Amino acid sequence: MSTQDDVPRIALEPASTTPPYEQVRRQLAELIETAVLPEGARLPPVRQLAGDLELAAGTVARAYSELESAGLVQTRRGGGTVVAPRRALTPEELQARLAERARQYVTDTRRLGAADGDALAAVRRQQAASPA
Amino acid sequence: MAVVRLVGLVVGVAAGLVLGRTGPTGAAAPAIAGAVVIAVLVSELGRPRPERQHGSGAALEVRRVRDYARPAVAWGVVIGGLVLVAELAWLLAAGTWVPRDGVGTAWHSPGTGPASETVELNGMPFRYETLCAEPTEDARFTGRSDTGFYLVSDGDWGMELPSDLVASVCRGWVSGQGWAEGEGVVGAAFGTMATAALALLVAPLVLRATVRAPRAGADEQTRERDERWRRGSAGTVVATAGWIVFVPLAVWNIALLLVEDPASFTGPAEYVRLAMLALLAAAAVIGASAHAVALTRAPDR
Repeated sequence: MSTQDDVPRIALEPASTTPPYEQVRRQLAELIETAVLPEGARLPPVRQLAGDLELAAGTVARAYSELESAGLVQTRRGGGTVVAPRRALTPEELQARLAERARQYVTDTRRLGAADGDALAAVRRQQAASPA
Repeated sequence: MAVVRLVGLVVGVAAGLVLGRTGPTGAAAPAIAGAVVIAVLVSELGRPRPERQHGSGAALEVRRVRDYARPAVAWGVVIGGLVLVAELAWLLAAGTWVPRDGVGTAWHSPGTGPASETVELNGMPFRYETLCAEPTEDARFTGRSDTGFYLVSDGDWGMELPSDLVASVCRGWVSGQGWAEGEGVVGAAFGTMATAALALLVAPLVLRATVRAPRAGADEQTRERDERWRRGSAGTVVATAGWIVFVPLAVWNIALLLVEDPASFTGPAEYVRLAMLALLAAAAVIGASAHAVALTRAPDR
């Protein structure tokens, strides 16, 4: 059994206009793509996760189904749903992911009131401080 | 709450023993099981789940039954149940059911027919006829009775059945009670098998539902309370199933031991059989005691 600290969590935003299944899908995809959920990690059974999130089982099942279509998870009969082996992104996919994260970063820094130049400088400093 | 469970255990065993002696014997094992299940349900009402905090999210954990119920204990219950069912199935398979008011299953046996005679078997009138016109070593006998009954070899009749153990058990334990339909050793065996099988089927479902029940909340304190509740409930389910399996297993094997007569033993195989029965009875008594302790221990809140 896992302890509270080492288990990734997801939570829903009740006020969000994003449908619950998409919130679940997006958070799980993020955890998988950032390797917080490593290859082979088992996801909770649909009914268990749905019960914990107070959602209908079909909502979580839809999120799992979309993750499977995207190649992020695999569902094995009797073996549950596990994180699929990571594959290299195509250049187009990589550009799309970078654009998505950049858009989010720009939104966040502008909300903070930071100038674009300062935000970019922060990225450069972070890149310099973090080994590749 | 431990007192409620203790009362359930005692009442169940008392009712089971009374029913086992006076009949209907088929209700003995269900009485033992029913009393403990009711007691556990009542006691669980006094041990409510931690209150749920809504909208607290979910940990991406896989809650497995083996994380909450000790596998060795759970497998012990499963093995005990399978041994019980197999032992009683073998006991029943060794006999012949003769239906009410009719010709029963024929069996092959050395005989000296043609003949027709009414004898008393375990307190019931029993008429047999040879079906062959000429004396033969393989004549067929057919039982007739006013009521249905179950017949196993008792040696005197020379019927071909696989074990003297079966004969001695049935002769000894139901002697004087007759073989009326649904009564005696057959009813007790069917009732026990059905109860044990039901426990083995239902307990895993309840365990799974308990383990996968939604978390009460995400904060550390609530999670700890939730874990204690979940662990306590899973332990209770296993202990309840263990009690339902091991008490009848102990009673049956002690009964089998009591009808053995070492003075009449003619070979080492009979002593081996006696030792195996004693071993099974002792293991079942230990198992039943351990599960009784688990059930009557004050559950964590």
